[in-house]
Amino acid sequence: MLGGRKTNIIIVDDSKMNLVILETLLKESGYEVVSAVNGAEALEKLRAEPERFDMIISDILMPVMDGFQLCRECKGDDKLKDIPFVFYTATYTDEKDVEFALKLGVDKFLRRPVEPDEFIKIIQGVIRDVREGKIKRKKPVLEEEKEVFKLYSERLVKKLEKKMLDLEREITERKRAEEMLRKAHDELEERIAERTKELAQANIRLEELDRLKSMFIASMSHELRTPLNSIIGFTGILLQGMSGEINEEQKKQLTMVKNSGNHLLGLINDIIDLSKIEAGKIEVLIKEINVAKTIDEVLATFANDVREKGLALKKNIPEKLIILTDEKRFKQVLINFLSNAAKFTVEGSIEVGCKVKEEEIEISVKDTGIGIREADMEKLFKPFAQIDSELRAKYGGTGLGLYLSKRIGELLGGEIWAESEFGKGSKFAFVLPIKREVKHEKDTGS
Amino acid sequence: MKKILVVEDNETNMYLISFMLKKNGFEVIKARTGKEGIDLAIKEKPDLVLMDFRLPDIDGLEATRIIRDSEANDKIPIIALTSYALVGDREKALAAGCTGYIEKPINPETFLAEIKKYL
Repeated sequence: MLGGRKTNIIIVDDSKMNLVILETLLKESGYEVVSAVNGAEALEKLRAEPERFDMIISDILMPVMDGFQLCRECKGDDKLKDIPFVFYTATYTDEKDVEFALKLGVDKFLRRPVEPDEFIKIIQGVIRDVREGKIKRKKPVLEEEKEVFKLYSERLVKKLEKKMLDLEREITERKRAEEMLRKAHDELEERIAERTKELAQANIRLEELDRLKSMFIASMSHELRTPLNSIIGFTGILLQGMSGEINEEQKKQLTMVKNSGNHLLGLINDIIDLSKIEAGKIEVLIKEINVAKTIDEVLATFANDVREKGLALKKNIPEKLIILTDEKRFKQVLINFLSNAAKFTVEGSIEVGCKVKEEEIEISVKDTGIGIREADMEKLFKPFAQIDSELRAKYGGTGLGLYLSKRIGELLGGEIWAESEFGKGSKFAFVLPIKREVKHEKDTGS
Repeated sequence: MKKILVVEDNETNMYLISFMLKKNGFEVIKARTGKEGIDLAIKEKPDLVLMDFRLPDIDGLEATRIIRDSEANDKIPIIALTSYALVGDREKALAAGCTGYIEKPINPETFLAEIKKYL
């Protein structure tokens, strides 16, 4: 404190961060602080209120006006020359700098970084020493400036040379990297070309294999069916009694042979259909069909089984609805739905429904059967994914039916979906797009 | 007694079909090759022809065409015995002049009813 007011210090640095650090430190130690970002600003503030400041702490290298110039200006100004002047810098740390600075009349030369406590101690010391006249003020000597500048310029040249060398090295490295990149790129293109060629060849082989596979399946299936001619044919003949009377036990056993033969036939037919669909070779014969009539034809083949089980068979189909589709495939899906419903329903009913929307119709088969667990729903339309082997043993089936139905649905441009409540029943639906308009048959009777 | 010509090279099938037909009161004429089938169709003038498609010499399609071309036999019902496995057999059979087709394996429960439809 000087005469009842705080000691006032002006700090000069072009680094805002340095200013903040220094300001905080000094304020904490009880000083009043004014900041300036270069010599010119500092000088302006000093000249505006020369009485106000008790110390100047300045960096050296700053834009507009550097620390040396600020120092010279202060020492040449009568009102400012007695204010203690301290350099606090990291930029110039050569002994010559210190010497030169002191010659300019600076009271202290501090090199960054200085420990905060130490710094404050030094600052206090300088203020005290100057006040007590312990520091001898020299007259500024300007002659040696030249020498110092020479030194700086030499150092700058050296720095520049080093920068240029670095730059050259960087350019060389970049060129090498570019070269390597180009090489890698060329190699990559070469490998892509090779790979493309390999893939094209592999593709040809795959197509050939696929063709062979389809041919194999078709002829294999044909060969598998030939023995079935005898199995199904002769058991049928025997069962009909054409070869003479058979007893009940023989009839029961022959029926088992016949059922197994038909099961095998169904399996082979499903495999043939799948291989045809997958080879894109399935025949689709689109023509007008009467939905109700077609459904009746299918239901007729189920009527006996369903009646024997004591199930109610309901249907709700608009009488004169005509759509364009493949009759055989349409029936195939419906037969699959109905045989599943008949198989898995012990009591209650099976209901065939039909909903006509604007651009599609939905044929559904709803049953009151055992239903499907939520977790099993996604397996439903996968090949050979019958929910569990216990069910398969109990109810039979090829394990291909719903998968095939799904593929047929896609083939006809529609889709198959199912919903179910476990223990309560299931609903399977077949949605077909109506690409051409659905016509309602004209009533010819009136 | 109605006369049925069976053109079939597989002995077991031939036996099966002719057994069923004979048991139900038909006269059966047997041909094992396409050529034999054509000859018998023209010479014997059967009431119906059951034509297998896969034959060792002339196949069923070609044999049907030849029979259809011979004046005397252009009205005989010719029923193709087609295989489910082969693509487009049904359409080919009808295009060649077959009256209808029965898919193999033959179902003994419906076979006779189907035959009778064409007589």
